[in-house]
Amino acid sequence: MSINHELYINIVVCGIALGTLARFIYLRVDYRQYPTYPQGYMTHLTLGIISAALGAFSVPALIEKQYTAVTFLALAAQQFKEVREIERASLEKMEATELVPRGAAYIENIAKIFEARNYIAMAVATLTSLAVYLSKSVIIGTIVGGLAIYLSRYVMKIAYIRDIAEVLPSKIVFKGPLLCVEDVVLADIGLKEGREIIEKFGMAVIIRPKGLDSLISINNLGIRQAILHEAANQLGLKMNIDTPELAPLTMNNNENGDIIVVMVAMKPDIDAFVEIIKNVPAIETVRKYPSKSRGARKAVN
Amino acid sequence: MEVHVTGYIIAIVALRKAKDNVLSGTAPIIYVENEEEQQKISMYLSRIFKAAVHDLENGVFILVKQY
Repeated sequence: MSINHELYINIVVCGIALGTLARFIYLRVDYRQYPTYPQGYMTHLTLGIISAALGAFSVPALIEKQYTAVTFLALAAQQFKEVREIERASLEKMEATELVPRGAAYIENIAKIFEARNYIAMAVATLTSLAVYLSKSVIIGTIVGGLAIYLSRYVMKIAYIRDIAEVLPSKIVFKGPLLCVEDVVLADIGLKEGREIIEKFGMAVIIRPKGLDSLISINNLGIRQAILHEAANQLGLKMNIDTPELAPLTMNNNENGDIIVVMVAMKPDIDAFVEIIKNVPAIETVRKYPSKSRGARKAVN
Repeated sequence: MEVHVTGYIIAIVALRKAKDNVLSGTAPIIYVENEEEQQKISMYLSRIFKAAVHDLENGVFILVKQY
């Protein structure tokens, strides 16, 4: 079976256009400001076009019984894995320059999302070109592609801290040199000067998990590091490399499993602090679901 | 498994009257006369070594560097 030239062009162009659009939508600028620099845009958009092209060409290739074309999809998968490696490597290199590092778990999460976005571009392109081929209409193809982009949001949906826990403002209390929040000792601050700065600019919040799953997840050091990184990068730190006592801290309350976060910020606004922590992604790669285990359910009941 | 040091006592700043509370170890001990001087000396050392000062509440301050 062969396809006439005009239809072939329609299939491929429509597929590539919708696939690239999908990648472009996921490149949106957000508060993390990543990757807003033009070079980052260029790299990811180009890779998006390539993956969309692979998806778009796969349909006419299969129709014309060019089954070897499928091997190119395997090659594409390899290529996207490379994207993940690149993202991971560049973020890891920048860790040394951050006062509060992102942490391995957060980096892994970002890298995985970047990889997945390319698959989305490819899948949208494939669906679009298939729809154009079956309906012989560019308009229907575009509608199907648009629908695929819309539905892909559910695949790419991520959970935030606000979904798994409550975030409540709290107060820092000094007992002698000990920095305490709700009777939990977080640190021993020897310098009077440090204690004065913390009393003036320090903020504390409590992250109260909503259930067993979130209790285990929120105790993960990777999520806690991501929270510190996000908060520090949005409110600014008083800390410098020669004042390690002003570093942001997290500690778990071993009585009820709450997580306490303390930070000495440039702009100590507790409402903003709570809001920022609520919107930190609850990193999917380190989340645990013990409620799905019979043993763990027994322990809870 | 890689084993490395994560925290290290850089120096100990002790009041002279609390000298029975501290014995020589890996870190140098600096004796001071009063609490005001103790605060000042440990602040200087903290800024020099980028280490955190911890108060043991028995007249002894330790400076700990985290890696």
